[in-house]
Amino acid sequence: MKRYTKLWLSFAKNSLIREMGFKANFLVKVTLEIGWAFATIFMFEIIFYQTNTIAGWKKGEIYLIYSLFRIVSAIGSIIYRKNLSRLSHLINSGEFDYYLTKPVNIFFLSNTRYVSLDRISQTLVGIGIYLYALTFPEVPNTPKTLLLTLFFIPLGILIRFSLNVIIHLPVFLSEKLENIYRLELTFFSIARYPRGVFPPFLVKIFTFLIPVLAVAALPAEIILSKSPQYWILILLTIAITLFTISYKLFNLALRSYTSASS
Amino acid sequence: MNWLKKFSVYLKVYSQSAIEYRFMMLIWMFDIFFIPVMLILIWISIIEYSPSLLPQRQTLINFYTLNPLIYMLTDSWHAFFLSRDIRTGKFSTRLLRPIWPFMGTVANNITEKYVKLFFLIPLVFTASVYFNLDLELTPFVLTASVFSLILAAIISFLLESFLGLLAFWTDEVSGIKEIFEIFHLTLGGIMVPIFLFPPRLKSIVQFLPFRYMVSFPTEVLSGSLTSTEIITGMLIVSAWIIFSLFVLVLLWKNGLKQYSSVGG
Repeated sequence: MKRYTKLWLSFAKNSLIREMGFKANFLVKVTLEIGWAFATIFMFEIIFYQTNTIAGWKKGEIYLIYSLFRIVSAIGSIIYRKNLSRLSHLINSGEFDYYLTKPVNIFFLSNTRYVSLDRISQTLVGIGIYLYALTFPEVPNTPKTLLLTLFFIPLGILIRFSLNVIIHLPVFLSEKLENIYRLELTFFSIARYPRGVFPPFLVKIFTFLIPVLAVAALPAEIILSKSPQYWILILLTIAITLFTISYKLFNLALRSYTSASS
Repeated sequence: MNWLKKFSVYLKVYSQSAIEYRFMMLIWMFDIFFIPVMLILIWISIIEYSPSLLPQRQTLINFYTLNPLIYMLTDSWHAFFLSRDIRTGKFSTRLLRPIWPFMGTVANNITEKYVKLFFLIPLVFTASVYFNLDLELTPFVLTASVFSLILAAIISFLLESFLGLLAFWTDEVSGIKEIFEIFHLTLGGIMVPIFLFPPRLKSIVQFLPFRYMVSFPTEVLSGSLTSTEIITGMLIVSAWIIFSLFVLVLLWKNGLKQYSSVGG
């Protein structure tokens, strides 16, 4: 554990040095991340110009979901997003061979090699929206809210990461799937909305089968006492099960890998 | 009609390429289809709690059901490839060929759309049946829809070309493209239809080009515009097309003057 932590910190340091070599590009990316967050806020503001609730959820509650979604996305993007989006290229070019020769767990290396520090701005925006959500009377501004939030964020990251890994596995089997990351973004585009907007059959699918709603919407329900507390255990089970499945499937997919070089 | 022969060769080559990478096409089409369908569900649930929006229910369903098809038919995506070619020097190949440098780009645009239709039409049809798409297709609306689609495809192509040609002056075009995309999604009526905007914002947005890339033809076909609004919209997008052409010619002439090919 200590070894892998040191390794990840060295990856982060190298990534920072690389990013600072292109400062203007780094600043552009930071600005864009803020821009995307404000695009969603713009959308919510227009919706709340027309109505007071979305499926019975008030504005502060919606911003709570969105802030959780944003923070989970941001931290996930910092840790693994760039690595998974490069996976198709690595496999097609044969560079993945170098990963296999390293004396490190391949699952760890292929998912954490590059750290996207430009996404820190997204994290700060998420925290800003969270603090804004807490100013609304419908969102309890209590230590319990903060503790639950701190508990749910790592779970949300684990769920999203595991789903991401599973979605990217076909790259081991197919030659050109550089846009497979779009599937993950597509599914998670709905994670910022409450579960109540979807018909019951979709709620079941997106809570248990493709648990995108377990990342932010379900945790928000628990924080706001809209769902009973036993859902915490269900959420924990979903996260651990999905991670285990993703790990096993990744190792299974590795058996299909044939080097593109030599 | 020598250029037509050359164009048909491009069409054949790009068709084969698009069919070969059909799984990628399927992913793109699922992406275009999924989000508007989810937005229909979201808006239906919003309307359940806000009866004042009930008159807009069918318009919203029409808008988001048609949106994926219109988006795909009017979309352009060559800014990245154009800027990459300029940056890496591959653009020289285009300049040396005895054909219009954008012929391949247009052919790629048409053929990918043709292939994508095969994936998208069944999805849109299913959504139309499930959500009860209900259009009033008068001859005027049909004609206006066709024209607005063509104008939308043209303005999208021109704006994408504009972004790509900026590579003559700057290395970082993808950042500018993303900023453009943010404005397109918000002010272009894709995330939220423009007819739901506050009046003051609506009056500003109707003079910007973003609306006419996807939202305007969708609004025309879904029946949410009067004939006066349709004609006004057509005039505004035509003005933007003329202006864009003028700017592009300037960019092209000045860009070529300072273009120095990198590499061989």
